[in-house]
Amino acid sequence: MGSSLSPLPKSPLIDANLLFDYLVWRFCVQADPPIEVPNLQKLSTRDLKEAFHWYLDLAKPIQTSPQVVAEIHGLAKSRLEWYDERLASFWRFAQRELARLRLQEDLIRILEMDPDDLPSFGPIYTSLLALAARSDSLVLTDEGKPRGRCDGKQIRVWGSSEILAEWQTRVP
Amino acid sequence: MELGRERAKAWIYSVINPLLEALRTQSVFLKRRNWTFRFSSGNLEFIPPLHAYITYQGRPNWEDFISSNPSARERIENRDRRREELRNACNLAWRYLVDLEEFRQKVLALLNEFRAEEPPANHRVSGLPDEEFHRLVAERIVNDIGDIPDHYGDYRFWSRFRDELMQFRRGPSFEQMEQAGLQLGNCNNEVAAELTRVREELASKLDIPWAPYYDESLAVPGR
Repeated sequence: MGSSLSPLPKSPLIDANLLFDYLVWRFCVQADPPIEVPNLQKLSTRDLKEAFHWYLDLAKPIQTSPQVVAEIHGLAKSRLEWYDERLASFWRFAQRELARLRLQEDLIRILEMDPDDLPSFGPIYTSLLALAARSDSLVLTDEGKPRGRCDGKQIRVWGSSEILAEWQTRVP
Repeated sequence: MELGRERAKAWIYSVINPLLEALRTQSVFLKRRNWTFRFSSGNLEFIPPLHAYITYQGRPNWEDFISSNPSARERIENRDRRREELRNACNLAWRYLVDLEEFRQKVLALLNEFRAEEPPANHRVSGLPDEEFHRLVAERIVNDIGDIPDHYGDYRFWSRFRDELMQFRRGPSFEQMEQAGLQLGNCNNEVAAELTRVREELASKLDIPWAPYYDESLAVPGR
């Protein structure tokens, strides 16, 4: 007995843009009454959203850095212009959803960050690169520059297109 | 009024490109003969009508595109009819199986065999009561599922008995379903070809890129 499918990587480290899109989408569709989903930059299509949802559910616990969580707050305000009650509702939902995904959050202090990576990638990706190197985890990002750095450091990296491909061939 | 650049861009970016992307994904499912049928809803979860791929913000552009492009509209409507035929065929094939006494008995017997040989930790195979488990198995058969990932509850059961259970995937209702799937695949290809043709024509005539892009020359210096 057995499956010819290779196991999918678990406990991925997720960047701010993908986690932001995922949380915004889930928040909108689970709101009562539902909120129209705004245009999302990364999870732009119905299938990408479904694929990402499917993958995170099976890959939990997910991981990220506190810098990513802080960035999500900034993105909600700058990209979506969410303030006051909408922003508060979003965070009430996001906290529950991140708990469901058993989010693990590890801090890489700015003073401990790689001095070569920090000027090039900023604190968010530098923290993710450091966590990935430390835990040998898959990084989820669609951003070209950090993806290149992951390749250079032999850190496994997937974007939304890799997740879509896995979903298409695996979902029963 | 003659079609202008902005309106054509709206069609390409908010209607044509998302549909072409969706049709590519659907072709993967259709080639696997995984119709993504779900017995709980009676629907094809990941093969919806094409308008379902248009975002809320893009809906007016969809309506404009559909009313302005009769050739594409005809193909899309035909495709959505074929999709409905496949949905109906999947429901009939699934109903045929779950009404078949021999099938229900077989699933129950295999479930008992499985539990007799597996440790108790593996006995839970789905969220369904035992007497309804055959409904999920019938869904797997309708969707011609081969391997399933190991985080699904029925992974061990299915891996072990899949070949035996797939013997039930035969008869007129399954032939009809296969035919409907094939026809939907052909219609999807026709829609994709038409959308690609329209995109090429608009892009060439009005000098429009096929996808939005970031123009560095327009970036604000110093940011």
